[in-house]
Amino acid sequence: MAVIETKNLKKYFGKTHAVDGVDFEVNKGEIFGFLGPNGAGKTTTIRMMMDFIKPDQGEIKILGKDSQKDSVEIKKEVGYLAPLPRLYENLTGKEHIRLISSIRGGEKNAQELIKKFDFDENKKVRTLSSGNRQKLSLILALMDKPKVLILDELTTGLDPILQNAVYNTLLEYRDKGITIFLSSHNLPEVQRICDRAAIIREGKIVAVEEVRELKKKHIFNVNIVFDDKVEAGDFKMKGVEIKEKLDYSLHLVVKGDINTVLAKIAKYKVRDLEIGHAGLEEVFLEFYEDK
Amino acid sequence: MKTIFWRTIKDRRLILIIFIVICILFLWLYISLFPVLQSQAEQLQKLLETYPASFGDAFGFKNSALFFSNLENYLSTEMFTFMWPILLISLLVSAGGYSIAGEIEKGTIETLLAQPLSRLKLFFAKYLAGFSLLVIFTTLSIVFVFPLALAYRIDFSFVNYIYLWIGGNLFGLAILSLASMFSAIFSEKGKVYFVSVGLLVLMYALNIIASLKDSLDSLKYISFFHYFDPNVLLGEKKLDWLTLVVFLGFSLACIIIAILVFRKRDVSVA
Repeated sequence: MAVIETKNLKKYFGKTHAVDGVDFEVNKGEIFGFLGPNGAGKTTTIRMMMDFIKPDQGEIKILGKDSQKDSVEIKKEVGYLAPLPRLYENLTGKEHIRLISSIRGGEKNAQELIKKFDFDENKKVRTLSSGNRQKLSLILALMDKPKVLILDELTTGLDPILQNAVYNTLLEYRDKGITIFLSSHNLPEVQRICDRAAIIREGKIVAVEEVRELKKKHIFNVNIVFDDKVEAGDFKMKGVEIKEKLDYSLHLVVKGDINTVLAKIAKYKVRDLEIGHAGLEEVFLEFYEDK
Repeated sequence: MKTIFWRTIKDRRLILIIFIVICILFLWLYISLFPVLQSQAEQLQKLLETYPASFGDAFGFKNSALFFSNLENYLSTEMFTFMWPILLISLLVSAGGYSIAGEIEKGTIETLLAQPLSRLKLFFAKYLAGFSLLVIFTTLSIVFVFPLALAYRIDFSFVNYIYLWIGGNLFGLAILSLASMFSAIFSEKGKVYFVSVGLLVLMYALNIIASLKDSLDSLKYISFFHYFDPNVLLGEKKLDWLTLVVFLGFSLACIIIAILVFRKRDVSVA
């Protein structure tokens, strides 16, 4: 049975079709990515799942229950992280934990999470950096050991070290059978920790893919500066586009597997090499334009 | 629900203390002046009689002869007709605005709505916290009359203050319900303050207009200030059923509308 299920979900704001017939299923114990550029409808979908806003059409079931009628029951089992978590400025982390655990009827592992994320619970929220606010919000979402985690833009404001700690925690949770729904506009993040992902664009799901399929949809921007003159013909291969060629340098756009290009580069003496990911919009235009 | 209730009380306690202290300071001022004013009552009565009769009707000097006859008549006009309702209105409109719209504006509503707590319970936790603030304010601000009166050796009638306390709480309940209803409808507390205070000012103006012209007399029935009259409550020890019915009925209607709207509305944080 699917843990999260949406059917023909629609939400319009005037003439804007924020979510326009979204269907997907999330299975138990998987990390499901919800990938799309800003304004694609990710947060609106999540807000409907959390019953903050009401769908114009369609239905959402979480743990087999209706997200509107059984909202309170569902939330006993759901941990939620907002995209830009808003907390009470005058309360400390400890007071937040006490407040939320008192509403939820207790917490199960707040201290463990505080230690893991190296969080100072005695500081007032107004003195915390955005990364520390995000840490606190994560602790609040995870501390009741929920069966389902709904995370909207998880790693906003987190430094790379903490991002790794969070990813590892999520993978541990997944291994314990917890279902994780993760919205992101960050393709590498989804590729790194998700099992499957739905791609949303302009309010519509354009694909639901296994992440191994998604990994094939990488686009790399490769800039190489060589010690000697380079022969551009060496880099004419499938999936590689030569964007710019100078005597000693090349700018390549590589779609999919980068290893063949790296092998070719290794034959030259390289002075400088820069490899970057293309933006999500670029990936979408390349792979999902017609859908 | 209990958690949200206590959290709200804690959040509002400073403003409550400030308002009570302001009230006590005003009471102290007025009560300390009363013996002097009472000794000059004759001259002051003559002065008040030079004002147009409609002025007395509009601003509560209905019976100038009785104005300084006792502490209750004096305080009902000096303190409880103007300053006290202003403080009460400010406290309750701010509590109502903060309850839902304030949480939406700050974005903290998402933190609350993400918990296993129904919107109904959330609303009532906030509403009951506002009601508690009302009762604490009315009780303390009235109770302090007694030690101050004793300190200045002024006679007072305890029972009259009970009428004022009941009437004040009913009036406050209606204001809190009005502000809470707008709080459930709007997403910015500024809008709640603006609309609630705007309506109350309109009601106040209508009550004055009604007293100025006989043909407009019926306008007074749509003003809270007709039903909440400290001169009648404190001065005359009277509380009629209509006051009770109007304030309770109005509050109930506001609560029902607030719940219907808040349960169905989209709560979207920018």
